Amino acid sequence: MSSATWLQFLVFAALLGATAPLLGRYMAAVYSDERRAPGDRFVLPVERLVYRVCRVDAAREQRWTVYGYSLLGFSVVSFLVVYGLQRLQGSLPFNPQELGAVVPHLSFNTAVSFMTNTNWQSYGGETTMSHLTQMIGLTVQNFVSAAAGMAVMAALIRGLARRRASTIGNFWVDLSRTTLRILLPLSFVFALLLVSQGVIQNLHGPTTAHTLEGATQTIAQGPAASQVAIKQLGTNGGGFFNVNSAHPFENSTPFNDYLELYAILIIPFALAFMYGRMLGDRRQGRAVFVIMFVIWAALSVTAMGLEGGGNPRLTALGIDQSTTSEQAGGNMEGKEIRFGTGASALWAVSTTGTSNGSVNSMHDSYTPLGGMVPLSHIMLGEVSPGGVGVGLNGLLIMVILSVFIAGLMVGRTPEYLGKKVQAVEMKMVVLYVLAMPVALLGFAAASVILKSAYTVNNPGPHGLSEILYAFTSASNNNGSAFAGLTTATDWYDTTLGLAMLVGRFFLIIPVLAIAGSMARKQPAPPSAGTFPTHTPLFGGVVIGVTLIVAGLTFFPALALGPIVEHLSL
Amino acid sequence: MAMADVAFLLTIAAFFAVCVLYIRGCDRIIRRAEESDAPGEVAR
Repeated sequence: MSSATWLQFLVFAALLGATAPLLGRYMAAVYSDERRAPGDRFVLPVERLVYRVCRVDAAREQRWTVYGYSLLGFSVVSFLVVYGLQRLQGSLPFNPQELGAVVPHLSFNTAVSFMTNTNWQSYGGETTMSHLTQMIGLTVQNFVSAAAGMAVMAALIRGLARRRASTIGNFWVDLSRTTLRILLPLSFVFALLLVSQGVIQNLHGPTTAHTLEGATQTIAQGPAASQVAIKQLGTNGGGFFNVNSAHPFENSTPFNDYLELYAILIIPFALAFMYGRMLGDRRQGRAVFVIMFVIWAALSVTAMGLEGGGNPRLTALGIDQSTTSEQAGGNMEGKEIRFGTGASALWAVSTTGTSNGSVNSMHDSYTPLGGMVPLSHIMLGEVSPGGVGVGLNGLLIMVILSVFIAGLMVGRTPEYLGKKVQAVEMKMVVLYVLAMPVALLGFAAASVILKSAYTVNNPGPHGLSEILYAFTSASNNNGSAFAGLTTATDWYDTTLGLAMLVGRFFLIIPVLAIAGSMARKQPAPPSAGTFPTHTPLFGGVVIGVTLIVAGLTFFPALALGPIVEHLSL
Repeated sequence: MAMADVAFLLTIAAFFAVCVLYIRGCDRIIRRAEESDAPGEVAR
């Protein structure tokens, strides 16, 4: 890893560490029971109008079951709107390219993908979706699916913080406040910053240009900046253009790249500090932040080092892959020269730790071990730092599991934040932990067995990695692609869609159940027998448990894919 | 509307019906656990 790459990484990490607590403080105010936050003077009237139009009784709190039903109902409507827009886009306005209806299996996949905050794309944005579908369907889902995930997180934190309560908040209030007070203002400012860097924002159709060689080139245009802003802040990742954040109209300059990277990570890291404030114990928030940060930083440095080291086969041939003033250096296949290996690998690790499906380089072209890093990062359950809302949920599940295991090891009744962790919570934790691997490994295995579904372009271990990555991405609601796998087929569109549904709702439901169960408990005061959950020791236990759970589940599959490929180099 | 549309809409309806059952199942587990514990006052 070059000194410039180290410097970029350290400055970026310092910036995140310095600003995340400030945003965390603001978000804690947004989700507080008092419902008082900066900006009330301007936002509160809009919020009240939304409640009045939607007939929401903001003062009425919900049990966890009602909270869950509200989320399900909202998601069904979201699916129907996006599905309908795609099927009818040929007859709707803002379609300068006169694109026809999207085929049913792709409409299903895309509607599920954006409704579940996955943003997996089996289509090329500029050649498949009209401007209206992109704006009213996909961009709106970027906001509300992210807000729904954050709402569930707020409910879980309330469940942990409250004493002898039967309710965990109001889904519609949380959804509205997240959208109006966090995502919309940040996206507005961020979209303007992107435009200043060259990201386009217009309603034009494609422009035809004639190159110096005399060839004709069709250059797609459209409202990209507004979609890119929320796609990064909401850890969505669905690109306006097919090549996503490698496209110069989405990600124009190295500074633009770091700006977007910051947007991807700032909310997830800030949620850790928000968590501490909502609990009234900032040490817990700092502990969560450190756990997230350690995993993210370790994997980032690993991936940057592996890609910066170049392709071992080329090294064996005596080819110079070092970083000099004349070449970016490292394994540059599938990477943009303006980003180099450092910014590309940092992006890959950051997006796969945050359920953000955007890519600024092609993961399929990484070295086998370099490509295994983002794949493994998703397999950890996207907890470092995790997607907006759902990442913190996943980490708190790991914390509860760690408390339980640590309690068994030392012979104490497991407690978290003074509340007993009992059989019912552990049943929910097990349901949570099992759902994603069952969908991931089950569909991946079926795809490998059914030859008709085997549409990889690279046979052997690399092909297995491509299939494995696709279902890992879908079942964790990440959305990034390894590429190299043709997924715009009936089989993959349907099975990946089902994997996304399982990965979203079969995880959220146990989380809400834990919130409801924990909310009813009375915490015991700390005593000499209390196991502290804000210490480095406990942080190490949580990281260990997270790695062991993922390792036991996925190591055999990884051994047959990227590890075999590396050993065969 | 094509048959494929009907199939996908039925798929999504079936999935969310399973989710509703999942919520009810989890709620039943929690209620059973609460009933086996000592009853307590709920403040909120």
